Amino acid sequence: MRQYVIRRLLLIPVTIVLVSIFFFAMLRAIPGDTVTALFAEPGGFISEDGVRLIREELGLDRPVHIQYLDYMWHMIRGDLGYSYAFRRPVTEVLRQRLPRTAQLMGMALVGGLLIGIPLGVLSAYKQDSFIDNGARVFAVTGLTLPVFVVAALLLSMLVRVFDWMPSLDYVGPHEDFIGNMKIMIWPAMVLIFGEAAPFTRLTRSQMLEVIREDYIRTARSKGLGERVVILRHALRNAMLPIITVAGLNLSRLMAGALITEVVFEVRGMGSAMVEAAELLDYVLLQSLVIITALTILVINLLTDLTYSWIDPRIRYA
Amino acid sequence: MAEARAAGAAELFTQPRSRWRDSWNAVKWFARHKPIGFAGGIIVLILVYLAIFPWTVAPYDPRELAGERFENPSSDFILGTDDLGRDVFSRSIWAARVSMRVGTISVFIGITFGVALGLVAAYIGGAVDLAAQRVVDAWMAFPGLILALFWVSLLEPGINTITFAIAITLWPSSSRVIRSSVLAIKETTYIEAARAIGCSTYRILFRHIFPNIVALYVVLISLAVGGAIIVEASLTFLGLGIEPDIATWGNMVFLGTRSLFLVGWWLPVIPSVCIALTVYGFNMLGDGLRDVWDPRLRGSQ
Repeated sequence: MRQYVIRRLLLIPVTIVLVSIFFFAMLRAIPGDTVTALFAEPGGFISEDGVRLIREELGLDRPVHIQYLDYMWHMIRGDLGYSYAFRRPVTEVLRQRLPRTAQLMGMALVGGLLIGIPLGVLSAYKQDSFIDNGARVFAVTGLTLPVFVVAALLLSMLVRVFDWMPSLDYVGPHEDFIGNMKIMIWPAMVLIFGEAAPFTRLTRSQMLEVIREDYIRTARSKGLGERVVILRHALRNAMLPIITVAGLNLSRLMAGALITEVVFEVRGMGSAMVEAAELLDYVLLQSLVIITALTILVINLLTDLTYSWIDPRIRYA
Repeated sequence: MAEARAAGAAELFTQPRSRWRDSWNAVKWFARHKPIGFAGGIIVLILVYLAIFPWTVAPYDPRELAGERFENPSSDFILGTDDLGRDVFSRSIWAARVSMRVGTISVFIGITFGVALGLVAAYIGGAVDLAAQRVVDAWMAFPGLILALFWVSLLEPGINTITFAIAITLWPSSSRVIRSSVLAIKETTYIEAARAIGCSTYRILFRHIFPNIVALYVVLISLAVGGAIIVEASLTFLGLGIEPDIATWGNMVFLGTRSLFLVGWWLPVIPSVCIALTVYGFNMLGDGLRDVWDPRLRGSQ
């Protein structure tokens, strides 16, 4: 077990280095760079000398491998460089944007689990009932409707019916919880809809399988209450695949958060990535790419380790 | 194939074998045992028809300014007109062509590359496999949409760019699936036998191993199309995909939401329903085929 964890931990930096080399090379292989993108806007005019000066200042005139080593060296020491698109250090951009995306994704995950698991249990417990059919339709809709469709329909409905507008001023949850919720609840709802669907479906199918096991019959026959049988004996054993799916779904959730952020103008990591890509802000884009990869790798490892914690029969050699 | 065999040995012995009859029996078997998958197949067939011959169904050209702006549904315009007076029904039909083109071509390229890589890496093994797996790791550390977004924002926008961008997000996971399958096949006795009688590596790969993963290949393709169409529509919606003047469902949702409830709630809803039906059709067909051909894959998507 310990060896397995160490091996997995060692693979993370290897993967990150591969990711960073790849994206570093790609960003420089395409025509145009930050400087040309910044001044390509109408009205932006700068002399060739000016372009050269900025390139020198940004270090873009050096060979690619030197730029890469320089970037990695600074990154290890916690300096992610300066974002020209936002005209601020990258770390400052991240400090502002990371919490918003984390909050959005956290709300979506918790909300999805809170709706999906009970709905799945109920749906399996009352198989083929009205509730079950409703839950199945809900799950299929949530899985087939793309996030952007749900986000766009919800936003335009809010705007038309309730005169609600995406707020341009952001307040953190610790400053003004109600105010923060007013901004975040709708984008979170969009993501919860997409998250709850796979959890509902999976909980249902798992529960249907587990409920037929011998130990459930044993539990019932020794006179345990139905609530204890379902929640403590059945659901607990059905949980393992749900954790897998919650982990695997993380990258789906991340993509969903990106779209929702753009639609609802929540200025988080996703919208920063779109802006950085449009303006070819290498420095910011590299950092965002590496953080995305790191998050997913760590979550994947944690998911794998949670299995053996919940189900001690699973051991990694 | 498997389902033809399952169609009943008796039937096969009493009738002269023919390819057509076998296939027909297979289709009948599939319709009887996997009705939802079969329904998905019918949706896909309709989409294929609409993608190839849209003008036989659509009454207007998708770019033609056929009527007034925002007309209500009528006998002339079944689903009304949009903000420029174009027929919404015709545009929805023509949009199927774009989505199907991007979806099928990108999936075919992406999955084929993934399958080829998984096949070769697993068979050769050793350092080649190790290196290939690390590259796959790196690639899989990103959500497909983010990777595709990265590519389309760097290249010239258009249908070919988005097809390419989606294709390169698809290969890693398919190469993983194929790899694990090939690792098992590689150890079987008939591969050992083929090697013992001196077959070339090429021959073993394509005549002895590949036929065993063809079913898996088809299942992977059919399961991936729905997701690819979602990525295409999402990027187009964000304004990073296909140009706004081309009729696509993503563009129609974008234009429609701006006028939702102002004039007609159906403007964004119709393309949304089209996307949902298409994705549903492909996913159900893929699930059905997977259950028949490769039940082990269950839950991998």
